[in-house]
Amino acid sequence: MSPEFIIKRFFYLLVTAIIVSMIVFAVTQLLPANAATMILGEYATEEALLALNAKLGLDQPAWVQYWQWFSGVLQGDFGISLRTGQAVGPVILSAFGNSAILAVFSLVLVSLISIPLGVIAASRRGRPLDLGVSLISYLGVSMPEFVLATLLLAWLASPAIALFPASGYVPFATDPLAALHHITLPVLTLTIVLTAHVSRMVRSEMVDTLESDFVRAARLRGVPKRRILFKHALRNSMLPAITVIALDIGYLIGGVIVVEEVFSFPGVGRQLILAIQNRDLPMLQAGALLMAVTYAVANLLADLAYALLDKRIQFK
Amino acid sequence: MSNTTQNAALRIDDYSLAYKSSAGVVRILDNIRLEIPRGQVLGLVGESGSAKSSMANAIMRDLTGVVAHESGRIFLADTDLTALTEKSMEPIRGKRVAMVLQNASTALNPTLSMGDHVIETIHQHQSDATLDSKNNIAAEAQALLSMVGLPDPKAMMNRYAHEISGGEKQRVVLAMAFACEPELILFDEPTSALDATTAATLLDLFGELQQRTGVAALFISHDLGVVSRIADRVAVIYGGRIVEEATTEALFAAPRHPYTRSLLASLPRPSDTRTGRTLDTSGNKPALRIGVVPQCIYAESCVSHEARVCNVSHVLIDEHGEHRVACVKAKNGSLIASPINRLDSVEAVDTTFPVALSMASLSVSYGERGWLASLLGKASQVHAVINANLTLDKGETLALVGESGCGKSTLAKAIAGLVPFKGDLFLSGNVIESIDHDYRSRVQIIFQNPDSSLNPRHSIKTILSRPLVLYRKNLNEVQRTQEVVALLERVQLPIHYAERYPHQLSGGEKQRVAIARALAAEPEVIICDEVTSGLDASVQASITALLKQIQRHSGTALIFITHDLAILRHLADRIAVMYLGEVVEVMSIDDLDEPPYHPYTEALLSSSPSVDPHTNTRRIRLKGTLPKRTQRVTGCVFESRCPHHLGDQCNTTPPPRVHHGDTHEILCHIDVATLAAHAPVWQASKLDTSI
Amino acid sequence: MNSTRRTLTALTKTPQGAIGLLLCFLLLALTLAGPELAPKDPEEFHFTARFAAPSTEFLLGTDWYGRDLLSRVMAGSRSTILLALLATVIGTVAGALIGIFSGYIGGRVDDLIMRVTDAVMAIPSLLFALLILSVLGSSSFNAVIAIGIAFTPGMARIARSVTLQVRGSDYVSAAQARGEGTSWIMFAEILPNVIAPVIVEATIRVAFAVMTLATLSFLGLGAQPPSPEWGLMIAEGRAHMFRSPWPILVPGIAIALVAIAFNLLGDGLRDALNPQASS
Repeated sequence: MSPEFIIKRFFYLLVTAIIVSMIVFAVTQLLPANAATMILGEYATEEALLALNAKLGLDQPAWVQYWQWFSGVLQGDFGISLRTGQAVGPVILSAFGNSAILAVFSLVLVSLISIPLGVIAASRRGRPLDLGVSLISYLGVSMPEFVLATLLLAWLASPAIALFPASGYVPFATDPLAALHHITLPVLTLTIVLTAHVSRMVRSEMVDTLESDFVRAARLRGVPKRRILFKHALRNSMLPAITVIALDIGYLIGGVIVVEEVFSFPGVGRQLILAIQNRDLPMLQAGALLMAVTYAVANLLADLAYALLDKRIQFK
Repeated sequence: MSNTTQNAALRIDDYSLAYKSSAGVVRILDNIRLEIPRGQVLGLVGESGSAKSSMANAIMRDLTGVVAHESGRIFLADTDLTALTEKSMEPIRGKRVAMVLQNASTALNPTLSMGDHVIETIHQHQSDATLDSKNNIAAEAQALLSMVGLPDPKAMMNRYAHEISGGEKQRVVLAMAFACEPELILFDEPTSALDATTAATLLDLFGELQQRTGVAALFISHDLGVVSRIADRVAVIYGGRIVEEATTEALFAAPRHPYTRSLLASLPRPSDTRTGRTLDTSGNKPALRIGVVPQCIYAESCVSHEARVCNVSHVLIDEHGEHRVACVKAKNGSLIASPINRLDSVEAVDTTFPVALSMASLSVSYGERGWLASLLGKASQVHAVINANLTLDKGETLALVGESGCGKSTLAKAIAGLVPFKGDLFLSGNVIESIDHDYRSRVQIIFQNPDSSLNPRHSIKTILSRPLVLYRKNLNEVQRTQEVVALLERVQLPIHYAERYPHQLSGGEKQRVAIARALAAEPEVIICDEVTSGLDASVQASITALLKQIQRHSGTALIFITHDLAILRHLADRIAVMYLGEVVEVMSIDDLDEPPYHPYTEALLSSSPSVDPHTNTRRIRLKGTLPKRTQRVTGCVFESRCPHHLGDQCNTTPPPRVHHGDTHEILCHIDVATLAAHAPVWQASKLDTSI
Repeated sequence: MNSTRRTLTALTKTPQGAIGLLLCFLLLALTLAGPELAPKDPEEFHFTARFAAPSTEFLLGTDWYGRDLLSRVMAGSRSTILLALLATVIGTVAGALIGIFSGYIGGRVDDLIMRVTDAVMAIPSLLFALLILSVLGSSSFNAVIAIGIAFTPGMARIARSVTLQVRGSDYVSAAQARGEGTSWIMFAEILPNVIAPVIVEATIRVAFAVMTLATLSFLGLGAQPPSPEWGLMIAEGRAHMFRSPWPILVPGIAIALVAIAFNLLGDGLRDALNPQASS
């Protein structure tokens, strides 16, 4: 991997992050309704609106407002929550930590399950096992997280079974076992949905690779099937699979928002929904920006991993 | 077929194969009877759709379709391959029978190094008795890479497919084929994806290795020239049946089957200039694959076909014999001779200003010059065309010749107004300030691949109407329809084709539509960019004949771009040879048959394979590969590969443009007299010493 | 057009395509005629039969007010499926136009457009929809707009990447060499060849749109009570989930069924439109 490539990718990340911050800011603060109206509601008095406008700096030009906000963000100052009056930064960061636990657990499980599943399905193409995997993954990709989460909740957390707690969160530092107990259902929901996505992708990449010329050439050299599958095909299929997993982090983030809401889990997603419901602009901006940047970084990492694995890209 | 069955490396016994498809059962191979004695090379020749590759797949037991029916047997020495399971084929593939696929670029795993590939092959088939250590296998692999003539085999072990050239890749594939000292190697169009000079060196290499190891080989190709160079015997396949099989000499000198005859008659030869021979342009229909099988597979296209004589029984090739043929009439000697084509008399074109198009110092460069690239100090430019000075007279054909990457297509695109260029372009003596509507209507381009140059979503009528709408605005709707019909007639297509879509046409028919589209504008110049390259020999001959005929009637000047030198004698008036972006030689077609040549042209001519019993070709081979074009060369562009390199001056000084007569100029440091003293590339020969 | 018929024939030959086509057809019929076909008034309370399990009286059971779940799901199909289609059409048309324009024009303009779509795509689509809804306010129609906008950059990317392939083909070069105008090249030469993958993607996106729309309603940002929108039904059913699973299960399965139907149809179309298969 050439340093140029890395510099270029980092540069893109920076550009992306800046544009994202603009979009987040523009959408929440400038378009189309006035933020003060949003906060105070439609029936607020004229004076109250003007006062709030002045207080929020809304009477200044858009780019000045943006710059004030963005320069604050760069220094770690996300503003003051309009709902609680606390600084947004520490709240959102601790929520981010909680969400990250859900995301990382799910992602690791998904990678461990879906890659072998996709490989096996592709190698038995058209046979019962493949059809079974396909059928289940169709169901998985067609089931929104909130439906699955609610059903799991209604079943496994019902008073009759009560296998897992219905909501809440215990920090890992206090009681690791209880913490695991609390995150099981959310992680299970995310894992099932994402596994369906990723295993479908891995399967289809494997099927394509297994039909490629070099796999045929290897077979015609007498290379046994197992070796073709793991040495020749898997390696080449992993490259696109990495990109797919990175893109699925987008779904994962969407899923995290929903799952946190269903299980009342104190993460960024829940803060975000609360912020929307309470018109808490600084919190909304901070949460959205954090999630979007996380996604962009995940994509960057995927690009770098791709380049590391794919010998060809260095020369592009 | 000689009676040495015991000694046969491969024996195919009445093998037939049919696949299932949605349209019904498709016959692939019919009663194949072939035998390859140990140490011999059998060439298998056929046009596209002849199922020649399916033969190799059947031998490897790697059938690509759903089998509807399979019969007969395939013996590798004493082993009946048709009786083996997929699992029991594994130890045979690569060990006893190896296969070399057409495209080495896709046959190598992009994530494995060349060393990994060769080591894997050896490792896979190593018997338990020789428990070699890893180092030994690696050493063996390296020795193999060195055996196939790869420079620096040690470094090559660690290279990946994208880091090496096409010729080098095919050498690695060859190393793998020879790795386990197989009894038989199957070659499926191994040189078709390569440039002529590279292909020639690879064929030499294979010949050498074959001599040394004594391996038997089945060499499949559509190119009779290539096969004639490498094979001991040749079998011709048409519509899934072998129609003729004989020694290479006999087959090419005295073909017996009407199909073989028509195939050979459509191929240009170096001796055509001397003999005045012209090409057979009748073409062959593709054979029927579905439904009732005709008694003689060639019945539909055969000029000698007579139902009374030919339809008496299933016409198959003789089981034994030195020169076997599947034709009733050939056996009883009642074939009519192929019609001999005569050149039509050429009418002189009346012109007031003789030069149609000319250019002065035309250069094209492109490449990475983005702001980020320049920010990072990485601004590499490719000089695709360097100072081209060419003129094209009215009504003449100028051939632009060179291998892939020489810049010939870029030059064509520049003239067609698709690529920006520096320098001047003149049309009928007037300098072109900008490529405008008027210029575009007067200069048309036809692309290589008609599959890609005709929009699949447009009907033929729409395709042919567009230039009429753009350039001939005075035509009304009715007149346009009439004109479309007239255009189809000019390119000899049925007029109901107007309602068809490109996918309903064959390759040759599509190219005719592309030609008609260029004619619609009534241009002065037509650029033909490799228009015959993707086509079968017989179709190629008929397309070139059509172009000649059109030119004769309309006086249009043609720029004919090709990598195939053989066809030029039947088409071009003058030739410009390009190498690495520069025009290194310009000559008239009459200069083609004897020196002087530019050293590169000499090698190119020698590499071009042809079937010609009347000619001997002198062997000149180039070393190395085409250099990268990102840096401008200070001396001669051909310096790194020139067999007649003079020393320092070639490396440092740009060569002068030297003239030989009025029509011939060469870009070379060597003086013309020396070049003229070189032995000719082709010499007339007697039949028996020809191959 | 014979190419449309060819595609449909090829579609029915793949199992996914055949099942997907049948399901989508049935669902569309249900959407158009559903509310009229409903066996009961979806808003009618049956206090004697609250939380009823499926029976001959209530085929799919009842909710906490004793409303017939089958009738409610049928009534809600219109607001779910039609709105999802609308959202997809908005995203597809906008995305395809942007993608084709950007891909064909190339250069700096393309760079700029792609950087912006990259950035928009860096915001997960659910989050993006949430942001837009937080401004526009909660309603079904606003949710449709939000999803349409969130889909646009993805569709633009796909249309652009196909356009780049098509732009390199000789028939586009031929059109340029002929001196055709930009609009002819974009709409007559490129568009017909880009449309197939765009339609495939759009079909699969309908499934996403159904799911996202339901998710937004579930989060209280889409349809508002007492609408029988499926996501909203589940959200309301949560309060009673330990008493009866049916108010959650029935709309949940309905959502999944619609999504499966469009996913199957999309995959079937992809196979049917595959150039290798069509020749």
